Amino acid sequence: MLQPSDYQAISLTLQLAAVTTAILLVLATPLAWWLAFTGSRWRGWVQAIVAMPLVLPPTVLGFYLLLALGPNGFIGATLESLGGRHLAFSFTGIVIGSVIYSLPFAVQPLTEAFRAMGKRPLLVAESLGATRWQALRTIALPLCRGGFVVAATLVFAHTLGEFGVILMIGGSIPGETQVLSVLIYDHTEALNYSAAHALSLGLIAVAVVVLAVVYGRRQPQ
Amino acid sequence: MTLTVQATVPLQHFDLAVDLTLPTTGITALVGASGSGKTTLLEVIAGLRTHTSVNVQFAGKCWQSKQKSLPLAERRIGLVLQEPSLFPHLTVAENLRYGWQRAQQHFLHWNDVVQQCGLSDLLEQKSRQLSGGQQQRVAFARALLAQPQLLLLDEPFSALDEGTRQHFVGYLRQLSEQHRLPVLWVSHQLTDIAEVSDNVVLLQQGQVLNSGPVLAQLRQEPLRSMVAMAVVHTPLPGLAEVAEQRLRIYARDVSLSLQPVPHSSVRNQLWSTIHARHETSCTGELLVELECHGQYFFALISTAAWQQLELGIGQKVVAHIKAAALHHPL
Repeated sequence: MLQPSDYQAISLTLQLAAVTTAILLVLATPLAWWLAFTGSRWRGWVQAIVAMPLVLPPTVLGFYLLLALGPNGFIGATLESLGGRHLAFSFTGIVIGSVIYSLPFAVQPLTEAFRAMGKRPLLVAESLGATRWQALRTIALPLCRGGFVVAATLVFAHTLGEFGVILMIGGSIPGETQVLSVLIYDHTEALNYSAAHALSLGLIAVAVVVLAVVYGRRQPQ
Repeated sequence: MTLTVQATVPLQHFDLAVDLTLPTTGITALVGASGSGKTTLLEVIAGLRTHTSVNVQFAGKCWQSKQKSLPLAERRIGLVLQEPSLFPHLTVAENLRYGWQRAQQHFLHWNDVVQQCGLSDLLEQKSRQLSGGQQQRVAFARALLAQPQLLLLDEPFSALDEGTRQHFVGYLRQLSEQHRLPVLWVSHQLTDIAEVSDNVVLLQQGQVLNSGPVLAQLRQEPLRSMVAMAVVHTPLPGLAEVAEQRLRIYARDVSLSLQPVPHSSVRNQLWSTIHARHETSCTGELLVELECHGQYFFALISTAAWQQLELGIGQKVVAHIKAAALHHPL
């Protein structure tokens, strides 16, 4: 029932989700740490900007990213002048879009986990002779493991379901930017309902499983 | 060898403003009402609270100044905070090993500390399963096993029952004497403080009101009326106790007569001289300060008794102390 192009889209979607998750865990961890512990008066603003993708229509984000990443945009033009290629309608482009779009899903659980832990366990660890890095690795990481698991699964699942941003930045190029949600849209437009059904039900199943894993972790103490 | 602390740290209602020099031997107690800045002072010394005005030197080494902040790990402080702050994902043994395995030399032995803190049966438990008192005991043992050069304790025994607390207070004394481990501690149990501390620092609204040796501080306000207790060193002629130790004597356990009372159940009768009389917050009661072979203690008597016996400063009297009232530090 599924065509090779469907498998290609599934594979591309998984790649996009995995890459986005990896990048976001690296980027969001220091940002969440800063948000959890800073006394800076800019914290509120930074938090607002991080949370923006939650309230803005994906098309707005996609629109400005398309302009910035395209051949005439600030980023795209800079890349072209350096001998590179602009990023509109490319896999890299949709990765950038996904990272920004899913940022709050990584930052918020991590900020909460860091805040719940507090700085005290780390200070105690340091007073017991651990270096800052050892304290982070042996105390903060295990204590905040739940936050990392939630952040990673939410980002992964959210990226699987992303549509508007990708369509705006990436269009629908098979093997490059045609992810599942976009392909389902294409199938529907082409009145190919059986293919749309198969992919949609698959996505629903994955979403349920992923969310069940996330919420199942929160066992009563 | 001293610990010097200079700091001006803004707190919610006032500044913590101290300029202290403390000995690095013996036990020093920080005393003061809740919110007087005791915990903040400990945090400043530990390096948990940094501020540009803070200057801390320990035994000739700079821990904190405008230019420099020695990493916590290199200060080798045995830190026990109000909340025990155990690592919840580790067992008791793993908590204890955390500092132990990072220490260079081990002058405090694993078995001794585990046994003294009563942890032998708890080692394999997850620390989140422990009661509040057990957690405090683990936190204390963990700090000791990291082989610290200074103990900073903030209400370390507050969740322990009376008997266990007594044991730990005695253990603290033992650590200070046998291992020359300097201790700086905060406790609301003034009797514990009087019993084991060598020095007292009194804080009020972030300022040092008074500081000095505990025996002298107990004779001065405000500790005098707060505790109404003295610490004497035996042997003291007239006291049935002959072994060499510190005894605490509560003013309420001491009565006075002009002559020794024969055939009395009170075995400790000491010829003493009335050194001073102090008013108390309770009208009709007096705190009589007695001197006996260069040591001082108090008797709490009624104003009526003072008048009836026609007592006066410099007069010789017999102080009666019930043997059962002599509290032995462990």
